[in-house]
This record gives sequence, C-alpha cells and structure tokens, in this order.
Amino acid sequence: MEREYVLEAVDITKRFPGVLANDRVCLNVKYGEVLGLIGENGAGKSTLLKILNGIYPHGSYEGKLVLEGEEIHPASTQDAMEKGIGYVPQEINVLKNFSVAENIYMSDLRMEKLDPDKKKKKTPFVNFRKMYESCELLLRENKIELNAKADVRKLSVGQQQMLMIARALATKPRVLILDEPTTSLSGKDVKSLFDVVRSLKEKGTSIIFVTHKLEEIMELTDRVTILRDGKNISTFEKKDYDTGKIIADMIGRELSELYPARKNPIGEEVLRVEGLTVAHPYIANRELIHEVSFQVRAGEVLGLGGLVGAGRSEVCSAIYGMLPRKSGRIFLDGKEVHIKNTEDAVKHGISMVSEDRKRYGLNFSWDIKKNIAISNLKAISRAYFVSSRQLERRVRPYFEELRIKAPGLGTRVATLSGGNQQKVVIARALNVSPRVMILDEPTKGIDVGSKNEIYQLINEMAAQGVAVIMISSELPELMAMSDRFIIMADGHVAGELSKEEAQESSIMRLATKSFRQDETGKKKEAKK
Amino acid sequence: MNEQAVKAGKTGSRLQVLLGSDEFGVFLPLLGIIAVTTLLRPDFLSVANFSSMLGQVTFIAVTALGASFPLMVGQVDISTGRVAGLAGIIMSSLVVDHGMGALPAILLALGACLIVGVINGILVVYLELPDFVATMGTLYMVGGARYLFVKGYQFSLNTQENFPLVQIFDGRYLGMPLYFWIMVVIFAFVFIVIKKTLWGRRLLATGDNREVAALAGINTDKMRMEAYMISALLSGVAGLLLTLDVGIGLPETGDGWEFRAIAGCVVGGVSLAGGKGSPLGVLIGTALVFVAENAIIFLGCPATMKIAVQGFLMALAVLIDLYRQKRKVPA
Amino acid sequence: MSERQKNRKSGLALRILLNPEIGILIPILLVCVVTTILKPNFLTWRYISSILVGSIFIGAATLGECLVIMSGEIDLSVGYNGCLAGVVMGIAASAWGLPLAVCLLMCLAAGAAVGAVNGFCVCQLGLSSWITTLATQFICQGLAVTICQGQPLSIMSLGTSEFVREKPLGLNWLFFIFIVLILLLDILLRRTRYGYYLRSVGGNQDASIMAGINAKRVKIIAFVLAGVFAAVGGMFDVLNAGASNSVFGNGREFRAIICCAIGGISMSGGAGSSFGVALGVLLFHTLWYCLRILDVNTNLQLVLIGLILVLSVIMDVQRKRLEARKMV
Repeated sequence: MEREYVLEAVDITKRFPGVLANDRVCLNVKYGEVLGLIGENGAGKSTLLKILNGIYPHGSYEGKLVLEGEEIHPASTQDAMEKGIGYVPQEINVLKNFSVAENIYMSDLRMEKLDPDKKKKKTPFVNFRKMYESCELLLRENKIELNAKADVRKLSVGQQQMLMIARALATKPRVLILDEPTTSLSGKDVKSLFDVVRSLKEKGTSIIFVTHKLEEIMELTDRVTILRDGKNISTFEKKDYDTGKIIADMIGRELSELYPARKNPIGEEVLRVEGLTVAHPYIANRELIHEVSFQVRAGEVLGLGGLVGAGRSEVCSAIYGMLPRKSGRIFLDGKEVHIKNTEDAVKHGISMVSEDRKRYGLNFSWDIKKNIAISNLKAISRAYFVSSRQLERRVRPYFEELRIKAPGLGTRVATLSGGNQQKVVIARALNVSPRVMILDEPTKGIDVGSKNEIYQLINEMAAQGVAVIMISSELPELMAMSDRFIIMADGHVAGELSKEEAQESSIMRLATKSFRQDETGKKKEAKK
Repeated sequence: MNEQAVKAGKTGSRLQVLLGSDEFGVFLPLLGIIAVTTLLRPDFLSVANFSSMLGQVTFIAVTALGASFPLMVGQVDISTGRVAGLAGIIMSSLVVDHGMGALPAILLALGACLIVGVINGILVVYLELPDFVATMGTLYMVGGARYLFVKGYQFSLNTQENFPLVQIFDGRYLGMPLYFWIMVVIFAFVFIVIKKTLWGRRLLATGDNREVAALAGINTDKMRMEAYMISALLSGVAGLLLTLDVGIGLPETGDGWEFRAIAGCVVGGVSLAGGKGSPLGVLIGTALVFVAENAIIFLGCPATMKIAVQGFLMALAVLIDLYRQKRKVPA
Repeated sequence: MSERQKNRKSGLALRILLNPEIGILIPILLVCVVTTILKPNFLTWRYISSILVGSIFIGAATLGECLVIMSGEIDLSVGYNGCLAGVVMGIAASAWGLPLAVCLLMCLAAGAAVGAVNGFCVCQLGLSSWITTLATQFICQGLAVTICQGQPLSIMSLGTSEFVREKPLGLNWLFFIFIVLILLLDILLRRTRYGYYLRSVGGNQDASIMAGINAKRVKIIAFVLAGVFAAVGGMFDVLNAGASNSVFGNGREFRAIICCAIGGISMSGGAGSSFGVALGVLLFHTLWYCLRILDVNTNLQLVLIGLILVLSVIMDVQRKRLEARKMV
C-alpha cells in the first residue's frame, strides 16, 4: 500500500509546569502538499513546531513522529534537519558578513554531504567553486532569484527570507516548515514567496505553512489544520474552505476564569492618539505601525486586540516614549503633549506595564520597596534627598492593597512568584498616580488566583477614573475586561468594535486581515 | 521577477568588487593622506621615510593581526602587547642564560604565549568574565612576569656565539629587512586561512551570529578559545621579531602595543560587533595609523600629538563601523 | 533534612565571604598581619599615615570610575583625563598667572568636559564605552604631553605649598578632602534621587526606562562626574608635587578599575557602595605599599595585582550566578 503521509505527528503531548501546551495533537502532512497551520495566540502552534524541529528533543514530550513510515527521534535542530525536517524561523537569522552561498552551505563547507558516495578528503579548504555551482543550481531549481555570490548585507528583507528558505532546502528536506514567513515581507515579496512555495510543491516537497492570515491560507494552502488550546480542532480540505468555519474553530475557548464585573461610569476623553506611525528599526521604508488613531476615556478599559506581531505593543511603546515616532500626535485632555522619552510620559501621567517581566520588569537584585518607589522618588524626597522613612510610608499602601504575598517590604523581588512580581510591577506603575495606564499582557504567565486579583485591580483603577489600555492575547480575557476594542493587524487599525459588536468571530475576522504595504498602495494614499 | 532583487544580487565585474571591498575603503584614505602630505611637504614621499615607517609598522601589524582574531569572534583581548614582551624576554633569557639553541628557545617562548592565550580563553569563554576586565588581569600578570626573567644584566643576543639568527636579521633582502618579509608571509598565510579555509569561515561565522553558527554545527566555544590562543601566539611572534631585530631582550618590549593594535584593527575595518575582518584590512589599517601620525609630524604638528591622532582615528573608525552596522536593510 | 541544614550553614558562610565590605576587610588585615610579622615596625603611625596619604590619588579617580561602572559602562580615560586637567591647571597658573580659585575651577571644568564628551559618544552616538574612553584617553594623553613638552609646569605662583605641607594629625589636608569626597559620594549614592537612579539603571536599564527614568541622562551625568573626580585626582597630584607633569596618571584607569573590582562594584553594574570602593582603594594601596617596603620584586607586584583583579571578578560573576540560581 502506498503511503499517503510523508510526516505524521501522533498524539503529541507536551507539558510545562502548570500548562498543557500540546494535548494529544496529531498532525499529518501529505506528499507534495502545502498544509496550513493556524491558531490563536497560545493555541500550541509554536510548541508543536519546536517539537517537530528538535528544539524540544525527543523524550521531553509524549507521542511519536513518523517520517516516511519510520519513527524518528530528533535530538536537536541539526538532527531534525539531517533527518529531513527543514525549518525556517520567523525572524531573520542569517550571517550578514557572508555571501549567499556561504550562508547556505555553512554546515557543509567541504561540500561533501551532497554526494556521500565520494571518498571524503580532509582538506582544510572551502570548496568555493563547487559551492557556487551547487548554490546556483539550487537557487535556479527552486526559482529563487538570488545571486550565489551576493553580499548578504546588501540583500533586502524579502531576499534574506528567501535565503533562509534556500538554506533549509540545501539539506534536501522532505518536509519544510515555514513559520509565519510573511510577517516582515512586502506585498511583492509575498507574491514571489508564494511562487517559490508552489514550485517546491510541484517538485514534491511538502510544506507546513504557519500563518496568522486567513487570506494566505485561502490562497496558498491545500489543507488547513486548526489548533486551539493545545488540541487540534479540525482539518479542512481546500474544497471545504470557509472563512466563517475556520474562524469559528479558531475561537470558542472556554471561560476558565472568573471575570469580576465592573460598573463605573465612563467619563471624558483623556488620551487621544492621531496618526501614530513608527518606522521599522532596521528595514528601510517599512513601518512597524501605520497611522494608528484612537482615544480612551476616563474610567474606560480599551482592549487592544489582534494577534502577536500585529503592532499592539509597538503602539503602547510609542505612546510611552520608548519607540521614536515617525509621525503622529498625542493629546492629553485635548491638549497636545510631546513625549520624547519615558520620563516625559510619566510626567504627563502615563504609566505602563510591559509584557516582558524579565527584561523590562524589575531590578531583581533589589527588594520590593525600592522597586516600587523608584518610579516616583520625587514624591518622597525633599530637594534632591530621598527620605527612607517616607519611602516606606509611601510604598506600604500599595504593598497591602495589591496583596503582594511576601514576608515584608524588604524581601528581594527575585524570590517572589511570577504573580507577585507582576503585582510589584503594577504597584510601581501605580506609584506615579497615572491618568492613563497601559497594561501589555498583564496576566501573562501567572497563576489563576493572581490573575483574578489583577482583574480586580484593573476594575479599581477604572473606578478611580484612570483610562486603561489593555493588551491581551487571551480573547476571553480581553472581551470580558474591555469596554471597547481596537483590533490591529499588520500594524494597522483593522477596526473598532463596541462591547456589543465584539464577538470572538468578529474580532478574529479583523485580526486576520492583511494590510500589505505596497509601493503602489502607498502612492495612492499619498495622493488622497 | 523583481528588478531590485536582480540589482541587489548582482556582484558586478571584478573591478567593481575590488572597489566596493572593505579593504579598499581603508586603502583610499591611506592614499589620500599620503597624497595630501606629499603635496604640502614633498620630502614626505621619500624612500628613506617610507622604509623606516614600514619597518616600524611590522611589529604592531603582526600584533594587530593577533588582536583581530578575538575581535572577529566578537571579543576583545588587551593583553597582546605584554605577551609580545613576554615572548621576547623568554627567548633571550633562554639563549643567554641557558645557552639554548634558537629553535627550542623560540618554541618555548611561543609555548608560554599559548598558555597565556589559553588562560584568557578559559576566563572569558568558560568562566564568562567580561572580556575586557579578564584580559586586563592577564595584562598585569604577564606584564609583571616579563620582568621576573630579567637578571640585572642585558640579554644581548649579539654577543652570543652559535646564535647566528641575529646576523640573519641584520641583513636586508630586496631592500627590506628580514622581519618585513616574515610579516608579509604571515599576513599572506592568515589571509588564506581566513578567506579560504573552513576554519577561517567558521571563525567569522561565530562572530557574525553565534546562534546561526551553532545551528550550522560549529562549536562556537572552541572557536572563541582558539581565537584567544592565536591572538597570544601572533603577539608572541611580533615580540620575537622585534627582539631578534634589535638583538637585545628588553622586558618593556610591547608596552602599549595592545591599544595601537586594536586601533589598527578598528581602522582596518574589523567590526567590534564581530564577524567582519580581513588580514589585509588590518595591515592597511595599522599602516594608516602610522602614516597618519607621521604625516601629522611632517605637517608641523608636535610629535607628542601622535597618540592623540591615534585616538581620534580610532573614534572615527568606530563611528563609521557603527554607521555601517546600523544602516537599514532595504525592504 | 541534614543536607538542607548544611546548605544553610554553607550559605551563611558564603554570604559573609561574599559580602563586599567584609570581604575586603579580611584581606586588608591579612596583608597588615603578614607585613607586621616580616617587618615588626610596620604598625607605626609613620607607615600607616603614609599609606593613607598615598592612596588619595588613585582613590579620587576610583570614586569617579565606580559611578561609571555602576551605571553599567566603563571609563578608561580617568587616568589621562586627570593628567590633562592637572596640566590645564598648571598652564593656567604658570603661563597665564590666574588666581587659585580660577585655576582649580578650570581644572575641574576640563575634567568635566572630557567626561561630557565620553557621555555624549556613549549615550547619544551609541558607541561602546571602552573604545570611546580609550580614544579620549589617547587624545588627553597627546594633549597633555604636547602642552607640557616634557617640562613640569610649576604652580608656585598659587602659594599652595604651605597648605599641602601642613600635617594635621600626621596626615595632610588633601587626605581630609578625600575623606569628605568619600562621604559626599556615599550621600550621593544612598540618599539622593540620582543615586537611586544610577543603581537602578546599572541593575536593569530597561526596567528603569519603563519606570520613567531617563537612563541616558543618568549615564551622561555619571561620565561627567567621573571626569570631575578624575580631575580632582589630577589636582591632588599637582598640588602635592607643586607642579603639573604629563606623566601623572599613567595607568591610573586600570588601577581604578581594579580598586572598583576588589571594592565590590559589580562589573556588570548596579551594585556597590562608596565605602566598599574606599576599602578597595585602601586594600590595593596597602598591598602595593607593603609589597614595596617588604622589597618584593616590583614586577611580582604586578602579577599579584592581576591575579587579585581576576579573582575578584570571578567572585563577582559567581555571586551573580548564585543570585540567578536563587531566582529560579
């Protein structure tokens, strides 16, 4: 009997402390097909990919991987690659001081792996002639338009993405995984990427195409598998594709937590953002976020929705003065303010809690009280001198109100649990008595009990008239906590929804939109 | 498909490649300085002036070549100058005090340098100390250790019988001293190693992007370790060359070379971010530093401003490198 | 159970050993004891006062260096920056005949200016601090040597020699100025807003920026203060010698970094105290002095200094690792 599937992942279960990231997930890839893999944030996609490409080695999970009828046990990324699973990561990851050919064949500079029958010579020299030859052949065969001798530094982002695909193809994979390959590409580059994928498919290479964008699923893939909450929900054949059905299967997460109700009146507008645009830090003529406008009122919780990478955090960072703005204006109480750095933001009563608690969170060699106090030393100092007595008096109410579980104010934050560390971060943000509070994934990676306490805190802030902007990748949480929604996709505002309009499906429909920044499109806008 | 793709991927003719290379980017200002100075003071471009400059360049250039290895993997080694001094003093003390032959003395001296390199590597790679501070520690240790060999009298190699090496070094070959030709050979060899061999490419890949290098199966810790060992080894060679040239083992040989070496590397286009560097660039960069200093004096600046010129050039070179690193990728 | 107890016990011993201030006192005592055994008249005021007075030159520069290191950067220019500042003072006094107060101010201003250049290049242009300050070190050295042309510039005209020669308590006034500087630095670090900001930026720069701290400004101020302290070191040299000279301050930047390392300033930034640094200076200078009066080979001294530097940084790195392990 002829085999139907080139790669089968059977009953993959991967546990992290307290989380079941993959729960008996099955994934089958047919010979010569493009399989789409789609799912909400936290659906378990990245865990599955890490298992497939060997980052989580065999033995750290349950279940088995079968490649062409044989069970494989990838021990590392290299091992998975050698066995025939190629992987192209999401972010650009190349040697920028090397030529295209060297990037592709860095693991095989002697060019021996291509013809294993040949007697191996232990030459210390790189076989450049053969390298360029096989590289040109490889590029030509796969219709990748790159010059083998070109300097990587001079390539565009799209070309570097192609280079990464070529690098994965050089090991002659049976299955190629493309992890959100279109995130940083322009419309033109996406088209040529699709061409390459189609030509690979014709030659019999199977492809797993991970994406957030429904449009791409519709256009490119032959089948699509949908993951949700670490389980696979459904798989559609191309003929059965239906946007509504796919979205329905992506959402529908059970309400596992209790969300406290909030009943405070919503007041006047506090913060208004107009045309916020941030340039990409290392790609020319590209924008992280484009012409983002919205406003928040006192006592309101604005939910900033969208999938990871849609530019939600960048919007917040730009308002908070962490990212330089290319254009755009920020108004507080109707008056324009100029925020050049975080110091200005705090001065104007804007406060922010970052999603990356390790990096942007706390000074881990300090105790709780100093970590909270540092954001507002002016309140506790006379002239330039900080009063340690006042410091304690200032910090204690936050410590008690936020119910931080620690022996005392002098406890070092490094010894606290994740939830309590997050409370210290929030306490520090509250310490400046903000009018606008930006919360980027405030409940990420903390236990259910602490989550509930943080929800109550958000309600208390709103009740005191603070305008809250909240980012959350957990749709139920976002829907329960917000009064209004701005949904982002591709760095653009995809739409605004009121509490009544906001269904999981309507949010997901907006979040999976594509906004391609074409040169032509840009010109049109400029004319308008 | 894509006009831009074709254009950006194009490598162009050989001449274009040459003109666009980093080495040429250093060579141009070198020519510029020489041209301007010659215009203002024609006697600058004399054979005597240049051969004396080239002679001085040799020792620092070899040290700079050594120092460029850690820089290429994204680390720094500031102990190179003292290691050069160590090699010279060990060799001459072995010859003068113990009557050793040239070859074993040279080998033992270089062996001592290798040990210093291994210590640097262990401190930085395996004990994860900040590279600058760790090599500063060895700078002190080696700097002191050099003097421990001194016995209150000079290690004059000139007077040693059965040590004809010094005489060989006294001679001139094709108009240049022997050490100059040795330097040329070393640079040619290292150039081939860096540009053409697996090891050289892997070394640069380690500095370029350690993650990608590791994925390509490169043992990056080993590469960094080896970079430190070669740094010490080449510095030792530089010290030996100078000692053989002057014929006297002086412990203070190599003082201050480490920073001149790093200045040469940086001016020569070795990126402090790692992953980029060419032996030819290092040679031209070191020469540029010397020529610029020399030119300044020819133009009437006090000789004491030499070191300031060096600092200025270094800052400028780093700025240019930073600008290159930060340049945006086309969309 | 017993294992846990053992752990706790070793933990306590470790903590005492790893506590920076106590950690320094032990070797200082050790050095003194050994020296006293070998040279019984060591423990006399003559020697001790000589150690104390001699430590202020490196000490002043170290106080500035520690600010920069605590902010997470490094400053290699403190040696020649101080030297240049001293030369500026010398030229102001000898060539231009300016009054004392103006000379002192010019000295400090010169140091601050170089520090400001360092801060600008590191924080605004984004250059790495060691290469920037290395370049400014070269430039300062070149300028200082060029201005002096090998001649000491006498400051006799200022009439400070009386003041320097006075010996209150067997020490000199410069030493007391140094003590005041240590106290001022301690107040700056522990009591003022800037001190909190500095330690915060050194401990976790990104988190500090999130908390609304202008990290760039904090670092630039650290560089400027380092320049001022370096200039104070240069000023001490000049006042002490009665003339400025371009050889003052040679290699002082390294010694300052070593003093910081043994004084418990974390090389990765954030941690450290003024008294720790002062003790670090004292240990360094005591060791150096004792080795000298014991007629230990000067070059063996260098080896020992290098060894101490490496060991103290290894201690620092291990301390960080212990903390990281505790976090998990």
